Formats: sequence, structure tokens, C-alpha cells
Amino acid sequence: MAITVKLDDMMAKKGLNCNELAQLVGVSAPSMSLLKTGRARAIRFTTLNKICEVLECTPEDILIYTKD
Amino acid sequence: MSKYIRLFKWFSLILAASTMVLSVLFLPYFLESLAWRFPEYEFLIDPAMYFIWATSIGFYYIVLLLINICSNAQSGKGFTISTAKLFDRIAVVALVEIVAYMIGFVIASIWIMKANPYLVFLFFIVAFFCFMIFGVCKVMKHLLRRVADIKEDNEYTI
Repeated sequence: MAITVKLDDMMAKKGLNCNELAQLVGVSAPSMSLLKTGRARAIRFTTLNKICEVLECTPEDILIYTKD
Repeated sequence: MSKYIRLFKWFSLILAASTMVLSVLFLPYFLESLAWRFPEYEFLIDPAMYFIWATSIGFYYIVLLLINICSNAQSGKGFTISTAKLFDRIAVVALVEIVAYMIGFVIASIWIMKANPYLVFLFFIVAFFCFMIFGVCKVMKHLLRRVADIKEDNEYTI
């Protein structure tokens, strides 16, 4: 996939682990794991908005676009 | 809904079992009675009986696949690729039955058309019935695959 999710750095900055982030964002831990491991097929704007809100960042900080 | 699926499963099973018993017990007598009416076609008793018994295996297999589909639906796996594959398998079996009955139709047309045209058209009706099963199952397979894809997309959307 050309777009990858990089949550590790932002999570480390905030000192959050996957379960805590999932809880704060309001999604299940398995869903957050899917997102972290790059197995998710799509992300809702509401989820992205919440992640950015919790991690205090912008979408471009966590979504990386690379050309195939 | 689950109650109706369970009922359908049992009904299919009972129907298949009774058809099997009836075909084993009464089919030879029925064919013999036909041979009694048309003695010149007595030589066709055995081929006809074996043909019907052989082609009925396909129908029993279809019933088995239907029961599997019902089980999938009961366990919440109705909209999956595996269910779509079961529908595809039914379509393949129906296609085999169509070919068998069309061959039977041609052979019967040559041998017994003059004696009993209604019996010949019975082959055609069964082939047509199988064609309907084939068509419905192919459509169901296509739809289920699409639904399974959409469901998977939805499950992998965070």
C-alpha cells in the first residue's frame, strides 16, 4: 500500500501504548493493532480526527505516502 | 430465523433420505411396470435405473451442500467466501446434471420418443430444473463474494 500509518513515534512522544491509545481514541485494541501493523484497509475521518486530537498532531505526522 | 434454518436443514435431510429410500425401493417396480406396458423397451430398464441412481447422487450432494450453507448461516458465517464457494460447488454439480440429462434426453429421444414422449420430456424438465439451480447459484455466488468483500472492507476499516 502507498499510504502507511506511523504511530510509534507519536505514541512514544506521548508515552502511550497501543491499548491506552485505543481506549482514548474509542476503538478496540484489535482495531488499533490492525492500524498499527498496517493491515487496516481504511480509516474513518472521525477516527483520524480523534487520533490527532489525542496525539496532538496532524494527519501528515502519522500518515506517510510513498510512491509504489 | 435460526429456528427456520434448523427446520429447513431437517426438512432437506428427511426429503433426501425419503427420496433415496423411495428410489431404491420403488424405482425398479415403476420401471418394470413401464416395461410391461412397452415390452419392446424392456432392455432399457437397467440403464434407466442406473442412470437415475447415478444422477441422483448429485442431488444428494446438493442437499449436503445446502445443509452446509445453512450451518454457515447459523454460525454467523453466511456472508463469507466459503459460503460463496459452496454455492459455486452446487452450480458445478447442477451443470454436471444438466449435461447428463441432456445426453439422456438425446438418447431417450432416439429410443423411446415414439413409445412415450412424456417420459422423454421428463429428462428435459429435469435438465431445465438443473439449469435454474445453476443460474441461481451462480448469481448467489457472485453476490455473496461481493458482500463478503464489502464486509471484509468494513471489518478492516478503523
